Amino acid sequence: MEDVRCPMCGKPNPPDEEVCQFCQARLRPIEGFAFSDGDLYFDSSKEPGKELGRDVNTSTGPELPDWLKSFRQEDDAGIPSEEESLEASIQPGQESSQEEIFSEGVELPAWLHNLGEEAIIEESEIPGEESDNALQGVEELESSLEGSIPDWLSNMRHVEDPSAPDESLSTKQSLAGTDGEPEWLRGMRDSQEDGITAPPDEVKIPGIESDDSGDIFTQSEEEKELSGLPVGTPEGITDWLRQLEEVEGKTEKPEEAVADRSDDSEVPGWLMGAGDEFAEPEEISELEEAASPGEEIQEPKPEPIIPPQEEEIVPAWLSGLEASTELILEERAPEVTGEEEFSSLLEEKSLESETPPVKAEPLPDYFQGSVAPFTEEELELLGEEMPAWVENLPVSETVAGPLEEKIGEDGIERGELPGWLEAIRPSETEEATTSISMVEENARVESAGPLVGLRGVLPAEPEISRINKTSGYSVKLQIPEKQQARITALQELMKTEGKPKLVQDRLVISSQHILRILIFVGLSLTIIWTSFFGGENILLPAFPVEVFDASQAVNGIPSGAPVLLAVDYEPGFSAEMEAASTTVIDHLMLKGAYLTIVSTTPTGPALGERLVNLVNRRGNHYYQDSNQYINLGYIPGGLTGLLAFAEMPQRITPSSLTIDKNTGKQIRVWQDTQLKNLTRLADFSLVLVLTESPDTVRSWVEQVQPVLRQTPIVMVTSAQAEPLIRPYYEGRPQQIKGFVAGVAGGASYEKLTMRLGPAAKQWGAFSNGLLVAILIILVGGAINAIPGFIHPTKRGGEAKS
Amino acid sequence: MNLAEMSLVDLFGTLMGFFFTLCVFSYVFGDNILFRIAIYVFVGVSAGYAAVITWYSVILPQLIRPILGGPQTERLLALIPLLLSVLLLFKLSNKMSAIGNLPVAFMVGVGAAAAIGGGVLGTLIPQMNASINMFDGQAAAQGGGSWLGMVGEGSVVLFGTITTLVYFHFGARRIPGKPPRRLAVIEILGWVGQFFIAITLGAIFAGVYAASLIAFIERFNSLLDFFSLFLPK
Repeated sequence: MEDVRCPMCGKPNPPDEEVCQFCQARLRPIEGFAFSDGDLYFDSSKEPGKELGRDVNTSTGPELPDWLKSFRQEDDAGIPSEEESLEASIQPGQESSQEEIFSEGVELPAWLHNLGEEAIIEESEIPGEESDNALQGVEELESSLEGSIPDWLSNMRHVEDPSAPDESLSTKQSLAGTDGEPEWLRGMRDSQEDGITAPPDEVKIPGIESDDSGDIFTQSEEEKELSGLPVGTPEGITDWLRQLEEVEGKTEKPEEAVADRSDDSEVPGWLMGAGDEFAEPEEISELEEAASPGEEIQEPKPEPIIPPQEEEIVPAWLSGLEASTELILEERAPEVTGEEEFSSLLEEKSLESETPPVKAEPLPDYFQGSVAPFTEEELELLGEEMPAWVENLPVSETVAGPLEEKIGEDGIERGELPGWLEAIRPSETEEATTSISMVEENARVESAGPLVGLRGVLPAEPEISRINKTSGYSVKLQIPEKQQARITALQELMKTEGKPKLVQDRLVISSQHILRILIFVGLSLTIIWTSFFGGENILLPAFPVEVFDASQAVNGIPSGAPVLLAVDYEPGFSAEMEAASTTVIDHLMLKGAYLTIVSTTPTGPALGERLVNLVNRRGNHYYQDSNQYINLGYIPGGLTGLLAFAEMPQRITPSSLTIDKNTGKQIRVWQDTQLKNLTRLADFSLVLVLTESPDTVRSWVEQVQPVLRQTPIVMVTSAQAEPLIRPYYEGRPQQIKGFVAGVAGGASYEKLTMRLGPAAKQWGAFSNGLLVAILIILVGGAINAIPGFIHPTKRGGEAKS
Repeated sequence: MNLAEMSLVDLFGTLMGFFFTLCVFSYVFGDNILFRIAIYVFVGVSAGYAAVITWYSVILPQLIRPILGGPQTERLLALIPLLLSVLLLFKLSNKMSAIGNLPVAFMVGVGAAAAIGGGVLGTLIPQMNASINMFDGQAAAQGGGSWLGMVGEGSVVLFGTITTLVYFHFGARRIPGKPPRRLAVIEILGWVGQFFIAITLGAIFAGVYAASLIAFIERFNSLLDFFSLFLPK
């Protein structure tokens, strides 16, 4: 024979034991009135007034409905302990085994047997409708009990004054699990030990629900009426107790019990009400599901609303019991809300042991012989310590502690919260940590919020309060000394650039001024001495080939032939250019050439006029404007204008610069002068270009010389342009026929033509001036080079620095 | 010539010349107001004279007269420079300066074409031919010189030309870990080319100095001539 499982602690006991070896709870219920799911049944087989059965569910029989069979089977198979039942509820598929347990029959009283048949019919007719079935079952049960209830009890129910609080108080007090059980109740329970088994699992809700008081609270009004309890909701019962009643009411039927069993595996039934009150976060539900795979969490079904019954049908002794219970409940549960209400539920189990027993009101005489639904041992069990299965619950892990610790300074008992609710609470302020390594953060388990239990969660708010020491970084760059020296030098350079330079006061006489004055004085004395004393004794230079070729070109022109004279030098070079060109122009005048003066510079025409007048005066010529020469003026456009003049001289220079004295108008050069027979530049006998600029020489060579064909071009240039025009002369074929460069060339040309002029006059001073200049350059170079020879390293070091 | 024989214009010109010459010579003591006065006068007179010359040499004969009294063809042709000149005046305005881009573009384009054409045909090709012909014995014979001397001279010119051109060759190879350097041959030839360049620049500087010295001598002689006017003969 299998062991009998204690309905209170759930531990197995030998089958012959009537009292649990562990918790001293009655293993077999007292026959008589049976309380189950709030239903109060009367065993007709027993003598009325002597045996009160507890719950129909707890009575076993072969004809019981399934929901009763399950309880019966559980009894026969040995009621599992609370731990085992909890484990069984966690394990999927356990419900089937439990149903098998209920299938085993146990003898039931006759009235329960009949009731079982009717219940089978009702369930077969309306399967699944639990609430309706419960109501109908109550009505049918009431009708069926009409004949079975003895007269004394039925009369008592109808005649008894409902206001009598004594019986009801004592009854409810006994149901509430207080240890103030009167003797008549204890005797009545003893008499039922053989007939009624222990309450099934559906009522072995840990905590308050484990006793039958919870069943009473969850009774519908009709059921209460049947059980003789006062009808209607007591005014003193607070909401949390009402919720508790609702939770208890969900265990009315075995099917629901099976479903609730799964729920109870996670949260005990006595927490269900609180669970409804405080809606569990969705995340936590998911976590719970993850923690117990395969476990079905069924939502609590809404409790059918049962209209309150009239109080007149409640017997007086039950009413009194209810009234007394209201007083107790009011004392126990002050108005609390929310979390406190829930915590009070958690505490209630532990507080029951210390709750002073409520003294039952004296029962009426007719009830003295009845037996209380629970023995004293059972009631005492409620006041003892929490069973092991309760302590092992996840919820109870966080609420352990003595009562003294739970009472705060304000004298209010502190509620014990389940783990998931404790996790929701705002956590204590964490101490600021100086540094937390990444390993620690990863190893940290989330202890608050919906992510509780997860590892490696990114911290949110607490991270803000953490103070980390700033890691020190070196701001000093690793720079080599060489680069550092360069940086320093650059910084100093930048500093000097940023600072405004002080304008030094000009010295009236500085070393530079003195040197400049010395050079000026030396050259001046040289010129003066050469001019007044012996300058003419210096030999003129020998005539070079280019000068000879230039003179041959002039000699080659016929008498009176038109010669194009380009005066393209700047006024600043007039001294040199005049010295160099005077003899050449004098030579042309001697040849009687018709001079046509043009210029690509604006001052050229004026310089041309001055040059002709100078030659006239020095050479005793009488060249007259428009008769012996013509000044065409300025050719605009530079290089382009020169090209245009080479292509179309008549269009570029249509008239002369000078005005005809007779007509007062500009002379039409190409119609009224000797140039009327000329149509192009190649018709000129000679092109003589006077310029100091190599660029002008190149322009004439490049733009005009190609169109001159056989017409020779001769250059009179400054000495500075000689190196650049010489290639045009020395090249084969020659691009220029000859050239006279500077004073030296002019002096040579004068020597060649035997007509000394300004060039020969200035040649002595020029020669001495060159000598002095050479000496100055050598002296200056020596002065600059001597320190280098004396202190080569010092200067070298200065240069490097 | 003495002072009595000089006309008033010549005397005024001589005095002005003497005064401005002294002003320019005063620069030997540093920048001063006399030097600046002389410079300003020269620049102003030159600009004024250039404006007059431009009017009488360019605008009047080439634009005004053709439009006013020239034949129809000259009038139509004169409208083109007139239009371009008017457009060029828009360059004076910042907002409408873009209108003046047309004549500027015309002038720049034509000037570039003339310079390039003249440079290639007038300088580059003839100078190349001249360098080649320096090694022509027949040409040397026609010139009257010896072939050996002409080849020697041509070799020097050719070598100087090559080394000078090599000096201005800045291409270099990149060597890892070292600064880029030219080839050793290029370095040597470029180094030799520096001497030719230095000789050329020295010659140019000597010419500049000679020109300046002649100007100084001429001005100093003019001062002496001025003082000689007051000397009895």
